[in-house]
Amino acid sequence: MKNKLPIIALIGFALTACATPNGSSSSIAPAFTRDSVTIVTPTGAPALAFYNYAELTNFETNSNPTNITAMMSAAQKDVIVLPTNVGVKTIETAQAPYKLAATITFGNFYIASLGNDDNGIMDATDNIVLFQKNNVPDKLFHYIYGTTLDAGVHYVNAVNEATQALNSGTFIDEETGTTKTAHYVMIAEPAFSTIKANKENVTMYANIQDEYKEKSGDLELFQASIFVKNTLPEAKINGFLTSLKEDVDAAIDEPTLLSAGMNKVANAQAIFGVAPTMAENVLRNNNGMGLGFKLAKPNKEAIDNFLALFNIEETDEEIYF
Amino acid sequence: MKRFISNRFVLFSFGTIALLMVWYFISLFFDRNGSIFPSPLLTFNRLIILLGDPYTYTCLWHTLTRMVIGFLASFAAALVFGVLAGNHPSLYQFFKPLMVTLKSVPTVALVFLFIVLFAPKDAPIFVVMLICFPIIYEAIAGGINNVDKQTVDAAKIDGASYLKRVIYIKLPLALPFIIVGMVSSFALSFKIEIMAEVLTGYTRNGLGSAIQYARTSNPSDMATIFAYALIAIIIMLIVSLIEEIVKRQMVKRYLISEQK
Repeated sequence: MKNKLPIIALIGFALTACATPNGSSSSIAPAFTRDSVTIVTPTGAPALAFYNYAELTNFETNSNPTNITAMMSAAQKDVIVLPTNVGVKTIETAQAPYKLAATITFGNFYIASLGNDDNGIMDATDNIVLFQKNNVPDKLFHYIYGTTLDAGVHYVNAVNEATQALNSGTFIDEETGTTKTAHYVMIAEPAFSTIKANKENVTMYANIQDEYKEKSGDLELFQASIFVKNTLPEAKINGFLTSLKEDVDAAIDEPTLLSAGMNKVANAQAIFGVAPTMAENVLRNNNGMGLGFKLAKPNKEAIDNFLALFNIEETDEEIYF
Repeated sequence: MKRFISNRFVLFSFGTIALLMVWYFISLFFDRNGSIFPSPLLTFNRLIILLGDPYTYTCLWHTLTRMVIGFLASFAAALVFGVLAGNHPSLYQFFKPLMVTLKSVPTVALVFLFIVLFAPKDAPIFVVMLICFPIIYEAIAGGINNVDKQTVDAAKIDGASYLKRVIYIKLPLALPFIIVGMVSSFALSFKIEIMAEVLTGYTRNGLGSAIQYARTSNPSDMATIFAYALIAIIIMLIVSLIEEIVKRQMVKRYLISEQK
């Protein structure tokens, strides 16, 4: 027994050394660390909130949101970022085991003018280029301007084609297949800032976020949100949300943190879909990417207002974290 | 003169020059500063830029690694199934519906299926596996089926076991068929891997991801996409050359006549 005493003392010392300072064991309360949750987000504005996750292997981005929707249906990740309407619809229709926790993107859409409209007022006689028919940009445009401008509206498939239209001043009309002159183009950041920096004639005609706020009675545009897996422990989700809010707030206060975090990986531009310097500049310029953090549950009214654009009925309290 | 013209290297060089000329003439009609069909010169300039960027090599390494994993897995599975089907015609018929299905199923459908079943990161590996598997399987089964029966019977009379007959007689004699199957499926797997990477939208390293990013970040710049494609072509040329050398060595080692 005498011989065993030092061993027992050593084990006892080792066990107390492993305990957390407040006395709680890590197996009782799962602590949040940035590498403890698996995350997937679309490239572009929503990905920027995760600038401190760039080098972590549990964090991935995807250039095609449809793939993320498939991953959500298959419950592959702990945290999924999607356009709010897409995520809510996936929970409701595909019974994806997730809850809506917070919103991190509050709109990055603008109407750009090419400076070639004689009267300088966007009307139905102008060629207005929108992207993603029946999707967020299209729905927002029609929510704000109604159908009065529809005679002048033309669609291109994706934001990169809208970028091309703004860059060249022309676009190919999908219906007729002919090349036409664009007068106004709906565009998203950071593409807008890139073009504005190189083309003097390109100016901002309307900030869609401001127009939306005015029309909706001061409600914000809850564009892209965080969905957390139902099986994730509550403490871990709270830890994750607190940490992310701190990250987002810190980047808004000091935009250099954003680029510094993104630059921790060599191919940041491909992973985030935005070059770190560009992201920093757009954030510095009145938060052009619409980066922010707001918990979903206390903002149910604003979320419902946004979802109504997509004919999604008032959300159930149960889908909120 | 006749010998010079029929020289393989000379013919290959002429073919390359002809291809470059056709490319150049097409670009004269369609090129708008590299936004539609960039010229060879613009593409080679962009290629030099890409070759100076470490990101290109990281992407290439990841694409090749994933492709080789998928290819080796399909080869291992095809070897088992191919040997069984080659030795037992009834099993060949039994596996036929599976092979026809695997050969006919659209690759895009497989990509979407594997995104849901696994993850965008791993989906290309499984796609490569399933696309290459029936090709290598057919090559192995067909090769074994074509082995001279008298040689196998002689070994049997000499007391060679089933396993020994497969390992030491049938597989070496079927090697030319297997190599042809492997070469064609290897080239295909590289293309499939890149395409699957684009479709999965996975943004960490990979040639497909790099092409996808080049397309979305600047849609009016086709030169970068052409340059990445050129890298893939160069890699495949190197691989073909290595395979040609390996094939010759094997033919020499096993003293079998090269199939023309």
